[in-house]
Amino acid sequence: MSSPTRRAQVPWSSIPTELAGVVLRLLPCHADRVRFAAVCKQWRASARHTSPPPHYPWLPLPDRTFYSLPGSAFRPLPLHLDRHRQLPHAQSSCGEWLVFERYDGAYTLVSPFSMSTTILLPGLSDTYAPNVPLLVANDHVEVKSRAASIFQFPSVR
Amino acid sequence: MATREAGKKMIMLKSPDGMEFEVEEAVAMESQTIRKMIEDDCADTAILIPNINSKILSRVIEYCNKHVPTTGATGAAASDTVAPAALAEDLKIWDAEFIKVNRATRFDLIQAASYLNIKGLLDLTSQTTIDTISDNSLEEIRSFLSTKNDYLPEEEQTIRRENQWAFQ
Repeated sequence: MSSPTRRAQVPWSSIPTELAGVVLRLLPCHADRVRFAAVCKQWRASARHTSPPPHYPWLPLPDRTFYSLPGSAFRPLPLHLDRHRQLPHAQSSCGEWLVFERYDGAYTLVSPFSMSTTILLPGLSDTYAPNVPLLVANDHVEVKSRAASIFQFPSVR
Repeated sequence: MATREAGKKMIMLKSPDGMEFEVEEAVAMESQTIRKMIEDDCADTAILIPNINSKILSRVIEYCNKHVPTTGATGAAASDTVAPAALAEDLKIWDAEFIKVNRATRFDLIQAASYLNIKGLLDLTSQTTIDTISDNSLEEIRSFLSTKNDYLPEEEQTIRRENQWAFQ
């Protein structure tokens, strides 16, 4: 339970950390959450201690941009994919992870929030069938191959 | 505990600035914090609500009065004649009017809702805050919420660089 202190003109930055967390959890858009955490030190601390529900999915477009969806507002997210030899469009997204096909036929998981975080999926180029689509379920990514091997990755927040 | 009006249990709420508000127990119990006090028998005579001045407390009581589930003779009559969907729509319109307050008052209301643990009021005040934040630039958010930027210029630069895409 918070114990707020009554003052004349209190700035919003002074709301208790857990109360800021209540507000943060209600923000569905990741971009809004990032800005929320940047408002002031108090809110940044609050964001660190809050595990909000998964944010809205992103819409990857062929021109190497991604759109973060807060309702009808669209915002391009420029990513530097060349560094990772990705093809210019993402096949699927899952939480904050994007699945890319690489030029050499392998698949990678990329977190656009940290370009150093790229996970190469093991051995896919050996078994990948181009006519079998990648399937994205709610909580995990399933990559199905002709050899019927299934890789599952837990959703990472 | 004071009792009046055909056996309806009344509770006395006191603000730190000395004002007293007599409210029906059911209304007061919209606040989970007060409900717990009553259930734990900590509410013999009057409940002092620390941190919440009379102006805000009276607004909170106004909210609880409106949102308390309607029971008894008048309440039953109301829900017999009006469809639940229409009642919900009415409440939504009422809420929208209720929250048309200045930033300072909204700030006090969100804190009161949190302290008194009134979920509906907390949702309402939080949602209004979110509408302020959503899809606005960092500068706009700070300005809307009269929030002071307490970062050093270098710190702010680092934060913006980490997630450049969110600040464009």
